[in-house]
Amino acid sequence: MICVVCAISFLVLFARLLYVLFQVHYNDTSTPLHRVPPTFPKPVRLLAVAGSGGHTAELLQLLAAATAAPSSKSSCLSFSTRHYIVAKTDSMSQDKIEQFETTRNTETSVVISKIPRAREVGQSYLTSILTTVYSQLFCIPHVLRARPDILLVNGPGTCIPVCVFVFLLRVLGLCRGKIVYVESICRVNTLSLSAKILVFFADHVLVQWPQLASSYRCKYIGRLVS
Amino acid sequence: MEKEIWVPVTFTHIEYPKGDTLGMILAWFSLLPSFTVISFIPVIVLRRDLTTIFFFMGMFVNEGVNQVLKRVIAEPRPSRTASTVQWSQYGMPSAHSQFAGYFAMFVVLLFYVRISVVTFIIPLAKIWKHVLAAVTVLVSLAICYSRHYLKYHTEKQICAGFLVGLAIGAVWFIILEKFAGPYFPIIASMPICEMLLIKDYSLIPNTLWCEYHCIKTEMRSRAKKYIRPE
Repeated sequence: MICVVCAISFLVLFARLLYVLFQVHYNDTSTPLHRVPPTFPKPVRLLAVAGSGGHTAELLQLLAAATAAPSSKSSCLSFSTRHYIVAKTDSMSQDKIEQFETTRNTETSVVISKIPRAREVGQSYLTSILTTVYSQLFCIPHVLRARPDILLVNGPGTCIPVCVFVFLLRVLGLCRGKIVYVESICRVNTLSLSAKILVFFADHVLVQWPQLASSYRCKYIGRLVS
Repeated sequence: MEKEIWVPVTFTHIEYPKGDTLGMILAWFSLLPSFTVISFIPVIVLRRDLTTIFFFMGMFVNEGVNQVLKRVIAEPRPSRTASTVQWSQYGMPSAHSQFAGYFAMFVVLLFYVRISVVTFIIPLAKIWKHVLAAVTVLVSLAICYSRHYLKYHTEKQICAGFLVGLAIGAVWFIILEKFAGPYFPIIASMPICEMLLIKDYSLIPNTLWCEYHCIKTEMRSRAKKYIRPE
């Protein structure tokens, strides 16, 4: 009896996983799928992963355009929560984020969480696997609290555990988790390792140099970051 | 070659002495736990309410505890020489009594702790809560008595089952109120619940009145736009 229940639930989960992967790989918005595209609740829950230094600066530049400064009247996405995940050893990113958020509207709630870094710069790939698993466990409670509608990532290795867990929650139907990956402007000729991993399950992989756009599923969006 | 033996489905097979009217009535009471579990399925499909689903899960937890206890304590049932069917090997604690205890405790706690507002117009409406709670407790006690009268369990097994059921009902209700309940609004807003149309009523004091009122309002506003065919 229990075997039957386990087998059926495993099949259902596997079918759901295939469905989400299909949704992700065929999300060409010019030709919508046969059903109405999913609608977000009006204020959007955002989760952003801030990596070391340069990544955070680029991320904040992207968000500056998406969010409203108190004086501006332009309409943009309204966020109900902006949740940032920074690495534990990275106090500079936290300061930059706090400074950025003071210049924004105070209607959205802002949360900053810290997780252990998944991979130091230049760390060997072998030990990176261990540290990634370690930071994966730590990011679970924060992602469950955030339950994002949009996950915005920029490139640091720390983002991979978060992306994997958000994708898992999306397969289980616990959050809407659209993953948007914006490749850093420094990657001119080759994709970063994070991008190569995320090509498999991110909704959008956006690159800022046209020569990268010929890689599978990368969209060239111009040089967004100055 | 072995002669094949036919056996009935044990859950629905309750035996009573032939010609005994009280025994027959009590046998129907013994069937009530199975009927209740099955009748919950249309309630959950039609109502899709998190509290009801939680109550239903508690029934399975209750049954799981009963199966474990039965195997651990391993006390045999009273022997019934006139019977041809063996229900299950062990008897302590009684599963039907445990279900009765769980159901009675959970329903009573639901009525007196959760439901606080009564907004009916008929004068005797205030006592419906007490009447229903009393009926539930009486039926639970009748289920327990039927297990004794039909000689499925000893008195000790029935009392133990009832008390364990009461305890699990109380604990499950405390988990609902303190630990799981506060998360129900969050769970109800998750995409899977929106897809399956699972909702949470926990903040609405009187759901019967609320549903009636909302549907009546909706029908009125649609009736204004509806042009009756001539």
